[in-house]
Amino acid sequence: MTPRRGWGRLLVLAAVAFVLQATLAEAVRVGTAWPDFCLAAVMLAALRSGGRAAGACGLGLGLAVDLFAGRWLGLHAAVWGAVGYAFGRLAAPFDERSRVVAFLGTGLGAAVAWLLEAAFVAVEARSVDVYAVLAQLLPHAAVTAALAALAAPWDLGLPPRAQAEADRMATIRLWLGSPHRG
Amino acid sequence: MTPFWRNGRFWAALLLAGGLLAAALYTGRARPAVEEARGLWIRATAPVFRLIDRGAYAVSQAAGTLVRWKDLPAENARLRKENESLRQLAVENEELRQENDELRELLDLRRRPPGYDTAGGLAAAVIGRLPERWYDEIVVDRGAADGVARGMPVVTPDGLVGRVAQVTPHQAVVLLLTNPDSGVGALVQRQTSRSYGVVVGAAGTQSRLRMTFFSRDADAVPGDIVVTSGLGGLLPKGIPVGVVTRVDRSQDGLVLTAELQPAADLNRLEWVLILPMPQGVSP
Repeated sequence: MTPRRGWGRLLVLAAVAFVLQATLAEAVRVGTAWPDFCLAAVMLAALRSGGRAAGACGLGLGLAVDLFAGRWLGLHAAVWGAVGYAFGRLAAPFDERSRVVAFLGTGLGAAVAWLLEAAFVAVEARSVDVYAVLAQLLPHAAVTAALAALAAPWDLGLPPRAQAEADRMATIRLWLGSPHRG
Repeated sequence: MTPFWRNGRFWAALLLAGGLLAAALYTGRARPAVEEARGLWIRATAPVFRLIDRGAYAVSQAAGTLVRWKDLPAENARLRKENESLRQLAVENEELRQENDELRELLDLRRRPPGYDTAGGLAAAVIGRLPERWYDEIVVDRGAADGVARGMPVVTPDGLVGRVAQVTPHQAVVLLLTNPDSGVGALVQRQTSRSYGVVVGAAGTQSRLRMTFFSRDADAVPGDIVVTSGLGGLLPKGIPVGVVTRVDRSQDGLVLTAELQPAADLNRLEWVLILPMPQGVSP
């Protein structure tokens, strides 16, 4: 697969996630929580393509959602970009198609993103309902993590992790003494 | 190894994040430039949303038909019977309507029938709604080309949904009643009360409304129906807004507020009716 085709598929994944988020997210609601298709796409990009691709994907998807919402333009972009980049770096030593890694990483990433967004809104509005934030956070993170775990083994044709990250991964594996699992 | 603070990319990323957060702070309030960009974005994405919406509807219909396959003969018979009785009812209804019209003429009742006028209303499908802004706004598939203008009331058969906040040629954004930025003049419908106030969305992600009464002698009890007051001329009078679920008085006894359950089911909005602006109000 050529790098250009890989990036094209990443773009398609992001576009599909955005459209699903704006149209069907509510229809697949589980209890009080709905899956965040956009964040799940960013996390899948982090697992498959590394920090930079996930950061760019988070930035673009965040801007798309911010523009659609028409308020706090740049908030989702900054938070998802940062969370995607960080997860892409942290997930480097792990199997990129593991459901467990996708579930735990996405759950943690969704919780962190939700907390960062809630903190920003609380600072801006000068009030915060901690109970409401926490009551939404856990189910939301769990459902989004489950979505990412479902899609983790699929061959999405995303661009491979950058060579630099692959080298870093090899170094860490060597340092940990663990065999190559991917 | 170069320390991270000597790395240009680190500072570029930090600058980008700072810039985005500053933009988020700046756009926390409505800005014309952002509204314009948003309108363009909604226009660009709406055809895909509409396609997905129709696809999802077709799939759910097909799934529903498959599930009901076994029950179809029985359902068919039941519907035939229902159809017959409905036809009969329609005939009776027509008779009653004519009788009613004649009586109205006789009594010279020139005022409008009870409720509100829905003539000229435009049906619109809800094509976009973000879960995190669930109780703030919806995007519908009618826009300026269909005659929709900013400020137009939006209703369902159950009651008021909100008002048009932004219009593009073929789509419009509707600010829901439950949005804390929304404010609607309202009154308690009960004949012995008729207390006036303003209804705003309760902050948070709940489907709740809060009504603050103008008079400290206002009278409201749980179960009271609240309708639009028509004061200010922006909304027609008499559209159901909600039902009082709780009444609170401030500690000093000066301010009476009530919690309302919206009359329209804002969780399940698929089709809405956009009403024309009341006479004498320009968009």
